[in-house]
Amino acid sequence: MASGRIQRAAQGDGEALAQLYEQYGTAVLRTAYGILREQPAAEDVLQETFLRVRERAGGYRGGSERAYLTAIARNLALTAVEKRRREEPLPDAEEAHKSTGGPEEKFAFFWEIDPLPPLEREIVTLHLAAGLRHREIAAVLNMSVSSVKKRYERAIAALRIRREWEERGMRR
Amino acid sequence: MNRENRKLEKRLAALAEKLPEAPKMKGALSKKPERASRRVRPLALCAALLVLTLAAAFAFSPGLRGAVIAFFRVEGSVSPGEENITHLFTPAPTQRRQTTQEETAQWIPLKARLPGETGSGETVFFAQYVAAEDFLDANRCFLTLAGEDGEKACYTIENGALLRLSPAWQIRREITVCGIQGRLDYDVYRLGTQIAFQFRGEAWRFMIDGDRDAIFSLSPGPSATEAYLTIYVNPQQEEWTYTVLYDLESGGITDFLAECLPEELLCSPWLGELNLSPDGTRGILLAGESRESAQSYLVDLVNKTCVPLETLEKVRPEGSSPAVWVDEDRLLYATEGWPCSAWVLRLSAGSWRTLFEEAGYLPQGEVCQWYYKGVDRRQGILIDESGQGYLLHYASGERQPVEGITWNENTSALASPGGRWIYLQGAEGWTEDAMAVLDTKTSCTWLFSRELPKGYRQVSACWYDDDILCVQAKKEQTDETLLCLYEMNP
Repeated sequence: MASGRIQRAAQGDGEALAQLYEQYGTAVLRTAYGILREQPAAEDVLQETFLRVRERAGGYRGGSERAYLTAIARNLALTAVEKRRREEPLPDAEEAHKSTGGPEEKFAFFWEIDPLPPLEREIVTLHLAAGLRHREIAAVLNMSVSSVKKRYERAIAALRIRREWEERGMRR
Repeated sequence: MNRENRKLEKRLAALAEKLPEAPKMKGALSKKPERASRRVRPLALCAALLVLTLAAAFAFSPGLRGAVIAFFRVEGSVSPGEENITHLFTPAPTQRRQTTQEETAQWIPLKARLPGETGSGETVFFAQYVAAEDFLDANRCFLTLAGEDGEKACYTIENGALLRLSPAWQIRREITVCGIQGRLDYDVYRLGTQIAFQFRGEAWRFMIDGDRDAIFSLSPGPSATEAYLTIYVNPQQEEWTYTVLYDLESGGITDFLAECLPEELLCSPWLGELNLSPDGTRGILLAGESRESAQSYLVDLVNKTCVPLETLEKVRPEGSSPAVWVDEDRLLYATEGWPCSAWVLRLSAGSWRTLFEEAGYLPQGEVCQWYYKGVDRRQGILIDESGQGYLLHYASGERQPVEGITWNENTSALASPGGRWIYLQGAEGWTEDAMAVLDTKTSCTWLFSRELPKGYRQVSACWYDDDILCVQAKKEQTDETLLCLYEMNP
């Protein structure tokens, strides 16, 4: 049964872990990338997240698997950012895309949402790139569902307005 | 969400689909050795050079900014200038002095207090600027900032200086409440009767690890030596939440809810968080078999009673959201989604007042009828079909016209804790740099062009106290923080 997979994975069930990875690996990777903006570092977080599940998921008490895994990934990514901030600055969006070595179009999503404040950027990433529902995002970010919805809608509206400004050439 | 926004959402969703997917999980997961170095350092150096070049260009071409600003309707402008920024991590001169807590504290004088003046020379606010590694929070006269080393510290503003506070209590302990195990890792700061908490634990606040049954969270309590301790069991599902009082001096627990709630309610499989009235004497609690079937209860903490709220609500409006305390005697109910209606219930009289009905956009043709948005527990904004905005006072039902701006659905509003000032953003024709403050006492809106140093962008705003607005700006390349403090001039 899907609801017991995390506990089973924590008890050493490789098949359960593989299923979780297959189903949520991409959501975890994209969540981490949204914070770290660097593909190799995001892949490290992806790996670390599933290692955590295997090694210490004893605290999981039901609820959305996707939200649980995303929350772990987010926590790990933020810790990595904090650690890196002390050592060296984070790459900006442009450099981050270069560092991936991949074609820019692949990361156009993050280019588009880059003007947003960090929290809104994260909400939009979690919803559109990682596929979390508003309720799941609320659990991950420790916010109310209505606040997530409001911020999400505000973020989309802000991007739309910015786009219009750019089209009209009104921005600096 | 209107049609244009929906279109953009679809476009973003299409772009998101192109993002890379997780690589195949090959073999067992194993830890990779940490990469010896990243490619960031040389890039950061280039970025720094670029920023320096841009900063120089910025300094020599103030006319450019002026030209951009003149394009919009502006009543004044305020700009920091490097010489007016206090650098938190290189404080000069840093002084030390005795605080009221009889401890020696770091005291960092803030630089120039720049007047935000209108065209007619009227000073609307004073601006001060602090550069820090990061800004984390401002609330009830406490500022949490991070210095160069990334270490969080708590400050207050006193006589034009930042005063670094020492924790009044450092709580690091395991604790068991109602048979539930948890851990508290907090620094507690005290300023007169105000207290603030800084979480110092390593685990993420809402993740349960193997050693704990629940998340334990502290928040300011009814006195300067008491805190509310809230226990979240299975926090992702908000399954069971319970609040007790924690004595900061003795570490003792007072289970004040147990004296008020009947046994069957305490044993509810689903128990929501206590929603306290502004004076803390009453609370609303949701309890039941599940979130969907939970009922509201009114808990009187003084007389130790608990009654189902529906007996007082008489006829609760269908589809309304959970109640919000307007004051000690009034509850606000509003329907979720559009069109939106709102009512106020006066508990002592058991009477309802309709604030407005059916505000929002009509789904067909996007014709604006009345648009509503909440600001805080006391007031909201109503916008009529012509774009005229009204401040709606929930307690009295009075609609106060607000002149000077053309509202739209993207205008956001942030009220000061006392409700006197409302910081506004995103009205018709305003740039991202526009800073507008509505004085609810006079219904007057001041619009300023808030010029930030080149490369900085506003990321958040909050109120430090009733009169000081904190705007956080981040440098795009490095994430350095500039904290802009705007003190209203009543």
